[in-house]
Amino acid sequence: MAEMREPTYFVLASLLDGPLHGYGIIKRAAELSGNRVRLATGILYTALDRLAAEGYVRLVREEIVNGRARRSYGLTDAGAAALRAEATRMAQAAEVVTGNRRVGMDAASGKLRTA
Amino acid sequence: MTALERRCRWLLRAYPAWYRAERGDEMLGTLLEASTPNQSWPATHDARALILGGLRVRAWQHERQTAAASLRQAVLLAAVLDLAFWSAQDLRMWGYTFPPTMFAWMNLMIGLLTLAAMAGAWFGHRVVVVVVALVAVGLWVSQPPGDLLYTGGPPVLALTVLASLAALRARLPRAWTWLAGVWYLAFVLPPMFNATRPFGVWVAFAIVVGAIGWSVIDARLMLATTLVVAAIFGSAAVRFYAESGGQASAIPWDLWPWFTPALLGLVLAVVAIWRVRRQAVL
Repeated sequence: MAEMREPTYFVLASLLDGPLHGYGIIKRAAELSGNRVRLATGILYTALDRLAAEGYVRLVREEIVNGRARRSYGLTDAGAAALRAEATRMAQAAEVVTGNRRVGMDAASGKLRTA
Repeated sequence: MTALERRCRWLLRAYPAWYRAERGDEMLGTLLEASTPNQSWPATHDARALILGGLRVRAWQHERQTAAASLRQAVLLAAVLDLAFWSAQDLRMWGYTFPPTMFAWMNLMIGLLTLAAMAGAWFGHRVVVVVVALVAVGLWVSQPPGDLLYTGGPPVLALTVLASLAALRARLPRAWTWLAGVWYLAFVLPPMFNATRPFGVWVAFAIVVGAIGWSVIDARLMLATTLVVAAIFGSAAVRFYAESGGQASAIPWDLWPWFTPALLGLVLAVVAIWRVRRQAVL
């Protein structure tokens, strides 16, 4: 799995609870990051292009709102796995400093586990 | 249409028309949704991201490529630019003597084969490119040992790199064709018009400076051009040193016009490698 930039990580994380449209992703990424990640529209769509090309996000819904196209994007299984892998990598890196929890990925479910 | 919408539409022009047709409406909707009620200008960070994002799409950098693939393309372009320099010299040599000597015909053949291999890096079938490049290497190597030592080394190396990368299926984007053309003409045209100033060197310098600036969008061009600078000036320095009888004490004073750009090219190439790897991160 490729290493991710922080904006990409939060774009994927914002889709964990379900599909969102562009502005929804911007708002959710800001919430999840405690307002640290403020995605500009240009950055968001570059990230979505790359993530779609990697097969990590997919177009879920397209509707017309105020006469303009609004598309909603959802996380694919590959995207969810990449997000979990990145979360594990960061948790393991954090553990080097905090050192009080053992973090790893469960081989069977592919989910993050802590002990 | 509000002032904000008009300004956002204007900024979206940084993207190519085909991309705007596909995504423009959606991006405009997102920009307007993210705005505050009385906002009449796009936020600075939005404006900056739209301009850079548009240029990235124009450079085909919106789709991710692995760092290894990007590095292969950059080194392939460096080989092509290096060969443009050398093939231009070969083709010029043919025009110097009339009627052409056997040596001049040989130079013409090498120059044309090198040009064919260079074009193949964009458009050719990889087997054909490898064969043409290796035949050109064979002709270079068959030259007298002195010629091979002084002028054949860099092109033989560049042709071998080109053949190896073509065999690994590396291919150059068509958007870069103009670069080799300008580079090639910079080294061919000035001597034809008896230009006394090193016009070609200034054109090459301008391209390198431009490529360094463009590295904000795409660092592959910076890597390619700085590698070529290092190769051309580095090989000139080695040749000059060999001709001076290998006097080590001559290096600091006599060779600085060659070594300084070669060293600067290498340092910038290392920076470019770092940037290429950063741009490949998802």
